[in-house]
Amino acid sequence: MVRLVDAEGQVVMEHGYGDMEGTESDGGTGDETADTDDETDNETDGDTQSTVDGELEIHHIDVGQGDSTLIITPANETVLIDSGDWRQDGSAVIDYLEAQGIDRIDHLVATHADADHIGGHAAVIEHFERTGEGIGAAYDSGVPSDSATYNNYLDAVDEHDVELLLVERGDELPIEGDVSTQVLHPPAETGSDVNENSIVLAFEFGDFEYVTTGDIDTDVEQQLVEELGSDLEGGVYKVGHHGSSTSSSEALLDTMAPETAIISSAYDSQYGHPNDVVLERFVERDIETYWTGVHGDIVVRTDGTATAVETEESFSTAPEDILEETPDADETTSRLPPSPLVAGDVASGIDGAVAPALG
Amino acid sequence: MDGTYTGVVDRIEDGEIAVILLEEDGQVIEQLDVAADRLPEPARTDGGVLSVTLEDGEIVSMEYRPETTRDRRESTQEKLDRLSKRLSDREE
Repeated sequence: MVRLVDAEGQVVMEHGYGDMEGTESDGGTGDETADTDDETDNETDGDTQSTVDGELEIHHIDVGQGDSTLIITPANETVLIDSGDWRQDGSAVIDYLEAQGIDRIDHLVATHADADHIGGHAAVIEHFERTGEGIGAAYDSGVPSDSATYNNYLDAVDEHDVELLLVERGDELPIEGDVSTQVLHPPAETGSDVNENSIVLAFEFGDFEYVTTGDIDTDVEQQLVEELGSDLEGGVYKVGHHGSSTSSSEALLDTMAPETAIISSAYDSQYGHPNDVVLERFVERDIETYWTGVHGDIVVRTDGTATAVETEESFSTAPEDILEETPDADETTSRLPPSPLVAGDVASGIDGAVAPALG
Repeated sequence: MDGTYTGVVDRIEDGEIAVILLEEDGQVIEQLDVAADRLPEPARTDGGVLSVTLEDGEIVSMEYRPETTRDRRESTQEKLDRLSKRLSDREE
């Protein structure tokens, strides 16, 4: 079942989760789950409990306009998927990890080479290699970027002798224990487009499923829907491309059928993320929606059967309320920089980040 | 902010906004978000390295640098190839 808890730890909502497969075993008293037959397999007898041990945690770190997700496995392995925007230079991520008492990243993933995803990679590698227990291995899509941000990440890999592994569909990340991590994308033969070749990962732990799609667009989503079908199913969807209209197609949502969606973007995203069209799709499908822009850090915890979400800030998880809260489309469009652009104005989209002082 | 900088098209958001990262001494020092249709060809479709000239913080010109783009792509690809291997080829 899903239990939504606000910042003070107060339970704000509960509902059945994973009951599609008849594995709900928490009794679920007091929630709205329809149960017309007391003799159903909802009885708790131990056999219906998922067979995995321990707890999986997925921390969506609020890095403003960017992505960074920390996963802590029951075996205490750490997976860091992306590291925020270049302007933070890893500081938000490093601070968060330190606060969690983490001194080692076992698996450092770059979903793709854009500077709002790998912006902290070099700093994170340097920090944990110099002051902590280091980086176990780094994983990359194999599609490079022209940016200095990407080059600095490769230099940090080089300097600290980090094992750098290119992944492709069919691979499984070598994570210990009961957590399965399948690579669904990119294919072995990638083109040169960074976004289109983002690493797509599907995590499974007991009955819990979580899918994260980087910045793939709707064409790639369609391809995955056609080629993978039900393998794309996931209860929790880390929303592609910060909620952009280029992603989260109806085809993807209908195939994945997520109950929960998690968006990572700044409250006043300079790119209009999350897009209203995407939020409307969530409304139509009644998908409970979390957004770092209003919820801050968003932590999903699961024992493989029951799942709980904790947020740093209290806010509704009804997608219609998120839709209401995002700046309207006209306002967003007017943020498009006039021509010519004044340098420095663009830094305002990143929470708490200050563009470096220019000499 | 004045002068001519090396700028790299990091990405184009939603097909509309080009994100250009300005560099100094191999480090990114500033980000410019410009309407993608302002980019010179072929950067509009293929990104690459530009010379970006600013006066009072405003872009007065952007010039595509084909040779620098090609050289940088070659050296980055070589570095990536040298440092990486496929997970499926990894020996346990």
